[in-house]
Amino acid sequence: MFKTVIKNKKLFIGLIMLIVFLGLGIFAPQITPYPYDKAYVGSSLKPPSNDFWFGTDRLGRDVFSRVIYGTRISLIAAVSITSVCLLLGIPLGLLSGYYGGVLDIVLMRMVDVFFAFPWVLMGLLVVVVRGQGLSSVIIALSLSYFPQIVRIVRSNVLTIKEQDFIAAARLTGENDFYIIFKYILPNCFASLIVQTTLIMSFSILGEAALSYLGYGTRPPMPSWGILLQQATNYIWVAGYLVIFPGIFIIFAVLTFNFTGDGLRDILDPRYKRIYG
Amino acid sequence: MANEDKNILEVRNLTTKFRFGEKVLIAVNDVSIEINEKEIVGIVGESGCGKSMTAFSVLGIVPHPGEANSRGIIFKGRNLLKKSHKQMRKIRGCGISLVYQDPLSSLNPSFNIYWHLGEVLKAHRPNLTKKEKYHLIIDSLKKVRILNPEEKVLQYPHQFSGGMRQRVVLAMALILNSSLVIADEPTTALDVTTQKEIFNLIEKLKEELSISFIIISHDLYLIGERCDRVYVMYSGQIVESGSSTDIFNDPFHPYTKGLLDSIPKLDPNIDEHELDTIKGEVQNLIDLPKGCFFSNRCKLADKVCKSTRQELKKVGKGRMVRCWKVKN
Amino acid sequence: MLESQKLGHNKNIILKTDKLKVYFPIERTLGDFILNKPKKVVKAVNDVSLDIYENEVLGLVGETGCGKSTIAKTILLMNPITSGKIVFQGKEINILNGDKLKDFFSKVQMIWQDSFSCLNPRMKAHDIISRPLVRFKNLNKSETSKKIKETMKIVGLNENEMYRYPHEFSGGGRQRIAIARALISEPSLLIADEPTSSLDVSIQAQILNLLKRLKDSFKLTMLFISHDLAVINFISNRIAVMYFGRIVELMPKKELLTKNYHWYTKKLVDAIPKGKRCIDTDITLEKSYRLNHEGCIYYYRCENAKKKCLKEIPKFVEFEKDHYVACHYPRREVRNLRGLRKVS
Repeated sequence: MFKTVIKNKKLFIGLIMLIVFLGLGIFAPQITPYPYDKAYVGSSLKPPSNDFWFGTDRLGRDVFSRVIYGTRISLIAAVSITSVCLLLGIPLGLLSGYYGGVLDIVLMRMVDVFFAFPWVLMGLLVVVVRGQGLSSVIIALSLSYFPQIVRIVRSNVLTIKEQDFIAAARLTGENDFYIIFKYILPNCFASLIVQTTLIMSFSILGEAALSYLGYGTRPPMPSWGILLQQATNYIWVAGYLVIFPGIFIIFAVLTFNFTGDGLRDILDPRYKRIYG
Repeated sequence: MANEDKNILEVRNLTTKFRFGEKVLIAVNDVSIEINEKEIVGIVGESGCGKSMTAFSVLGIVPHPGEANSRGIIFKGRNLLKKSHKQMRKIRGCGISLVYQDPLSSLNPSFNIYWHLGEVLKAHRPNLTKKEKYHLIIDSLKKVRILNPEEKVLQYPHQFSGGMRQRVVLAMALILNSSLVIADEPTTALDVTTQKEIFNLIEKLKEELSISFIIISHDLYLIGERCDRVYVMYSGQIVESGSSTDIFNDPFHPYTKGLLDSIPKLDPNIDEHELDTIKGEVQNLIDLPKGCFFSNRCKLADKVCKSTRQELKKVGKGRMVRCWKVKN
Repeated sequence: MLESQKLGHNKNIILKTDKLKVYFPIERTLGDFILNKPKKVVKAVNDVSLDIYENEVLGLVGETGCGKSTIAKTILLMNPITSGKIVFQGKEINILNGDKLKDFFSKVQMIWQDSFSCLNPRMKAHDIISRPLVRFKNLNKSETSKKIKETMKIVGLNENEMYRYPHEFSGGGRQRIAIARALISEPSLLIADEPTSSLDVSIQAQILNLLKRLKDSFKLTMLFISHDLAVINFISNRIAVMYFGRIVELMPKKELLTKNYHWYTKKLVDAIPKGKRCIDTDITLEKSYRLNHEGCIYYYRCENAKKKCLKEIPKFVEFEKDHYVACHYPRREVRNLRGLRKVS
């Protein structure tokens, strides 16, 4: 098992990067030299130097500290959104796929309503109702992505339902509950694991975008999106204000994409047979 | 009758390997085959023995990461190893054709029969006029005994039965007068009555058009009944070869014997209580044993068998066996 | 005592189907609805009445699509019955539910053709085999464990393979797991739907021997379905030949090769490759066959078809002792063994 993980380069790099990000997020207070919201008067818009590794912003705050704390926000958003999507999407997908009929039709149409909203619009709506904040971002992005999970789980269930081992399970007297959770769900894990990483990279991008547009986290929270928004006016003057948050966003998304790709590879049964 | 002087295809010491990292899987292990004109040759063996891979290697269509190497693949006097990709494409479908197992998936469901046969012509003889094309197509359907070809040619694969589809695939293989047709399990997906019709057709085509056939199958009795000569394969090697009458009336190699014994026989006089089985299972092709590949399942195996690899030796007129316990 | 002689009307009937019909409706398009075209159905099982006696193997043979798998699934209540009855140990089963249904399943089990898809890829062999015990019988942990070990030994699986997943076994190994699962609850009837068709020849022999041995030691009754006449001939006591939803002939095993009275049975027997070189000059022109006509279902392929065959459906009658045929003009000559093949 361990060997397989190491042999797949994508997965290996992805996992290393993931560990790095987790470390940065968890140990943010230990790593950062300055608090993220302390303004150092007289040091505004200073380029990267020994004192301020990533430079300072207009108010004299250390960009490096802000970016590292921003990691925390992104991670919290990613984990929360993923959890909500899975908790909401998996049961609906299982029920819809297994029972079919009217239940399936009704559930799928309800889910389609959410599917029809572009996530930016959903962000705006939630903010209008609840006000700005990280929780609104989480709600908006979860509602935008969970239909995808429902669809994927449902299509997995439809395929698995037709297999002989489900008929065999009924013949051995298993009840519906047991069949759904012990026979069908474990066989959906492969695609669900991949989806998890995709939701996470979507969350990071989504949270950054919504915050940039002003519908997300409130300043002075240093989410990467806010950092980018505050840097927009100073692109030509202080490019580092845009570059560093941007690089972190790119790397975070890549981490999850690599991990997802790598996981999909190693979970493919043909891959396992050949590469061992 | 087979014309034994004229050699259509000769494969010399073909070995096909697949490399996965450090592991090497030897799918075809030093295989040499000969096909003469107007001959039906059978390659028989169980799954994983390398029979299909041999055919793919001859045609140069081994899937990645396989590599086929041999001392020579001589088709009608020309060595196929020396041909470029372009030249090989000319030979595939035109000199040597391949018929696959499942006729439903060999045909594109979105197109009608005319299109299928037309594609073969387009690839090899693009300069035909419409009229010539049409005549060739109708002719080839007549050769495979399809009634009312003029109507059938406009129909789609899903409108045909399995047997008809396989006839269409045979027509595609014959439309350019191939000299050799390789059929990989051509009737496994068909019913036994259709199988009989298809093989009757194959025999007729052999006589009328002087085509040679290589029939690859796991069905020993079918091969025995329909082929002139047989090669028995196990774990990538040929373990026995000879005329089908010899092999079925008097098998030499323990694997061939075991295989024949383990098939239930349709003889009302025999009231078999148990089938004579070959113990164990086929091993994988990566960790091959030091000695004879069959030694871990063979009833006669002893220390010598398990420690030395066996060579294919001549034991009679046109017969070869890979077992040192079989004397002349 | 020879296998072939175990017949007898005084034996119990374990399972019986009575004029069983299973029709599947074909979906109507809007055009059909508007033009009021008649509703089309696929008559998968068309008026089948079979008796399976205690401790026998009834072989059901026929080409693909003839409805033999449908019968198996219908007996196990996986398909709705259009009309007719299925009676198991004296009780009608199409009206069972709840506990009675569970009781029925504990006595009737099935093994499938595809050994890979009939096992949960996410469950270990030990767990797969134990589920029927958990559901049908109330045994404590040590009894369960003992029973599982016993059953695994009987089907030829090693104890140290207990905690492996299905994909780590070979085709033959997986089929043994499926057999262990089917037999652990000690059913009275085992339905085997092409259990060896996807296995290699040498493994097929091992599994067939195993099934035969198990049938004797567990006193099982089996319904064995296959398209392979040689396999059916080996394992069955009686053989039923099926063609497009109808049983055309039912006979003791011994008479399959010597007294095949239905023209389709003869065609099947002739078509089986027998390994001896023979040149057959009969080349059939490929025709299309019609299936939804009145009269004998085999009319369009029959070499002996007459006018009556197109108008009237032949009745399934006892032509000779224990030998039933559905044909207006069955073959009367008895083939001798040498007449079966021409050797060149």
